[in-house]
Amino acid sequence: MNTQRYAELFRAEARERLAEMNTSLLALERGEGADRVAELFRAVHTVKGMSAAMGYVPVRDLSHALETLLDLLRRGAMPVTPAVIETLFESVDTLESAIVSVSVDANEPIDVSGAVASIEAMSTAAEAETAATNPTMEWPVTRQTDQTPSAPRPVSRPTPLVTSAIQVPVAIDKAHRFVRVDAARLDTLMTLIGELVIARGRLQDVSRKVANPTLSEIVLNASRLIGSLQTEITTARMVPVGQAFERFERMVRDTAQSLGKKVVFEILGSDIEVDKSVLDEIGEPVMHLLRNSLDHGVETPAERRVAGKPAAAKLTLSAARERSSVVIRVSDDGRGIDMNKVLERALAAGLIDPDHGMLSDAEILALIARPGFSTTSKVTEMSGRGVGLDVVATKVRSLGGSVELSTDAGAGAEIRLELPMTLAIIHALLARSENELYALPITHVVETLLVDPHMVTFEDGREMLTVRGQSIPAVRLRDRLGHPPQDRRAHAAVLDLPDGRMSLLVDEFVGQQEVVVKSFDAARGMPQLFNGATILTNGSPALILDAQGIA
Amino acid sequence: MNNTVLVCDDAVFMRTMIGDILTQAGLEVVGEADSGASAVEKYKALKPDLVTMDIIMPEMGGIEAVKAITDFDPQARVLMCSAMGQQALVAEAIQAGAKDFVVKPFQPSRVLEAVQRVLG
Repeated sequence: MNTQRYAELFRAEARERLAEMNTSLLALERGEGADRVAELFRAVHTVKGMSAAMGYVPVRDLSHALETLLDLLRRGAMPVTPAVIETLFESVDTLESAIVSVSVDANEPIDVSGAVASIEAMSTAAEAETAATNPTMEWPVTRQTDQTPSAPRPVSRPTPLVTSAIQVPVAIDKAHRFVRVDAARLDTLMTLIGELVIARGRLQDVSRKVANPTLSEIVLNASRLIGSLQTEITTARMVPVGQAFERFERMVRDTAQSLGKKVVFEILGSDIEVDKSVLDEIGEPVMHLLRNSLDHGVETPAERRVAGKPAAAKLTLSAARERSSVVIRVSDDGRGIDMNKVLERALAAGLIDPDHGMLSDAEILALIARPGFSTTSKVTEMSGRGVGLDVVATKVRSLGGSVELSTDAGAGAEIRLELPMTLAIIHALLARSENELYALPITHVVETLLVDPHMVTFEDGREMLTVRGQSIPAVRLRDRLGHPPQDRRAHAAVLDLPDGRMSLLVDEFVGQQEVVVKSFDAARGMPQLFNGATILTNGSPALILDAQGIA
Repeated sequence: MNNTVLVCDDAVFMRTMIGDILTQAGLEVVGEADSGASAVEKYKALKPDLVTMDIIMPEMGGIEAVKAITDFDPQARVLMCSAMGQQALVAEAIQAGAKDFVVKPFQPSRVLEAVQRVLG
């Protein structure tokens, strides 16, 4: 009996249906009508059928009760009131946790009786009301070949009733030839491809040295095939961001409600695709940003009225493709960030000079994203967004992305996350310092050049590099890594970072390579110079430099 | 030659399970549909010997689909697969031209009995 396979199918499909339920419920709450009830009914009905087949009794009972209530709503026998919607939201939550526990352990005792009782109480009240005016009619059922439908038999078996492990029948129809694949399997495949890419590099190295025409041709051919394989797998791992965004609707609604704020939440670009690993990583940071907006950015309806704004704030989460990156924006039309408050705090904390003038958005971000910046503050009215922003910034940067802020005091704020579309394999320049090689992702690299001594100047004690008349702050990798200075002519890379251009001086750049990122957790609080490690084509390990950390 | 089947259900889970039962019994699943509309379209294209039809589906429910299929082919053999608690709908489906029905959760033996009767 292939219980495992059915359990996995159940889990995957149930999750989709739960997401649909939440979407429909939110729409229903916005005042959309009958279609949404029908959608909700269908989703619940499907879960009921599947859970009955799996013998997941609590899930079946709860979805059955829900279905009965939804049927009343669908037939118009009961009005859709806020109380009903609230009960539905709660029941869907209970249903979700029942599904989660049952998928972990089918025999786990789950008590759904409370939820079932409250749903049934609601249904019965409505039934009683309609029965008085409109007696229900039962269709006589004469042709029965299975269990009596009117008396559902309790399912006692915890396993499906199928006794063999036959492969999924492949539908003939070409348009729907989809196969569900466990995400972990895609991850493994990607890791293997990563190793293969490394092996390819080593093979190419050796082949160049051997310089045998036959070998070269084979290596070239194999390299192309590996390249195509990599592209295919990368594409197969792309998922629409909507998959991660859907659940935020519910979170925003609940948070806004608990804070007594009114919000119109809009999600744009949910069909933009990113690598699954990126999506898995950004869920948390995006949630942080939305919470921050609701907590600190969005005002209460009363405050908004005073400010002459509509009572309901606008909160937007959007995704867009820009070159090889994905840009995610969280913006609101709330109170924005008060630069003066940030200045005050920064002064008090000794982070800036007293004669510091206006703060740019980038400076504000750098300040409020400092670990603990706003939590050290006892100034409650400060519209700080600090809490958690350092976590967001660290996470995004560890993914090789960047964070930008723009704000208008009184009119709102926007946080922009720019992320690579895939994390697994990146192009990097190999930089040498002393006798060690480091990988510098080319994401931010604008150009590389050989440094002439006359290009190096000092401004206010800061080393600068003059590139075609433009003076760019310079950082020496040797200094950062604690290597002693050297006298030879250095190589430099000009980097385009969110807070401006910067040049990184290294001993030399020895080449460019595709590197497979192995994630890497730097100790918290340490200066962040690296955001991963990799194996170079010569087989030796190298650390991946975090350009923003070095700046 | 094996009898061919078109499996219609909006849940992949259910389609897989029904497909397994039928395949094991030697039938050939030649198509799947996840909505009433697609069921009708695929019936016309595939002309299967048997159709299993869920009742509650998006874009045209199972009952309307049965009507449309039997309008197109009065000889069509449709087996309704309904969840419990849909007596009224089952009766309606049979009036619409379905030949028989089984109730979820399925026991393979019940499904196969019904299939034999419908094909018989």
